[in-house]
Amino acid sequence: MGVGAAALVLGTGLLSGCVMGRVYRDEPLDEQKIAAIARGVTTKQEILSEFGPPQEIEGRELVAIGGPIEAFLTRRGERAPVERVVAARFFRYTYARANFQAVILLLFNYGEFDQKTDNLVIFFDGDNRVEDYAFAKRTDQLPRYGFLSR
Amino acid sequence: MAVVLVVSGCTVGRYYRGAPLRADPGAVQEGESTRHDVLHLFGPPDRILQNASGDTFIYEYERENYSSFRLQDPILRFTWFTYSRSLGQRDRLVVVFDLSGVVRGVAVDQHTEELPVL
Repeated sequence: MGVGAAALVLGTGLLSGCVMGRVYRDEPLDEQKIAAIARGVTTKQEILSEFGPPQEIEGRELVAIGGPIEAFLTRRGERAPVERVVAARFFRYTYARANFQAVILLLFNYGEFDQKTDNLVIFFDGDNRVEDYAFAKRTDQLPRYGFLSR
Repeated sequence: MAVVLVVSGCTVGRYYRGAPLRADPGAVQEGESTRHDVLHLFGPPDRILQNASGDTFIYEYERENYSSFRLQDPILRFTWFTYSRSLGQRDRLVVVFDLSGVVRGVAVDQHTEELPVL
């Protein structure tokens, strides 16, 4: 038996199998549409019609509704919250991908799981226009074959 | 001889979630930087918390290294001994804003580079 054949037998004996997996969640975000977002101009309705329903909505606008809540305050000197608009209201759109791969040998196993998400967050002002937004494309950083392409 | 009759196996695993911070947290100045600056530097935060006094942005990158060693009877498949270890670390940046969107606090933890290989 030659050295090559011996290596082949040894290799096939040791290499029990490989596992590869891919996870895709939601739809890729259209970067041309993102580039068209204009601060102070684009409206919330336009965002909804272009991008569809967001994965996350933060719509809380009030610290507390006005009302006779003093009776529920338990600590002396505690004051009732004042009704006011707080912080930002935002939409979040995401597209997540994950790559999984494993090498299963007789005596040694190695596996990797890597998850990256494209993330678009859009803040709106009190007039329901885009106040600010940020986009990060991270799925293109996923190594295709794990440690082999990292 | 007994050692030869026992099959030993090692497993090494790597888990990555998120992406490293894409800018230097030192660039964020309390009382000067705005929400727009932070979004421009670091992109969309992984989490946004709303408090009565303003927003808090949280950026996270998480890694975990797993390794195990196992001794097993090759015929009966009985496992004589297993040792496993999982080490997780994360990079975290927390930026606190006031209601006008100006940075009022910054905290950063970067530990993923400290993860031992095994």
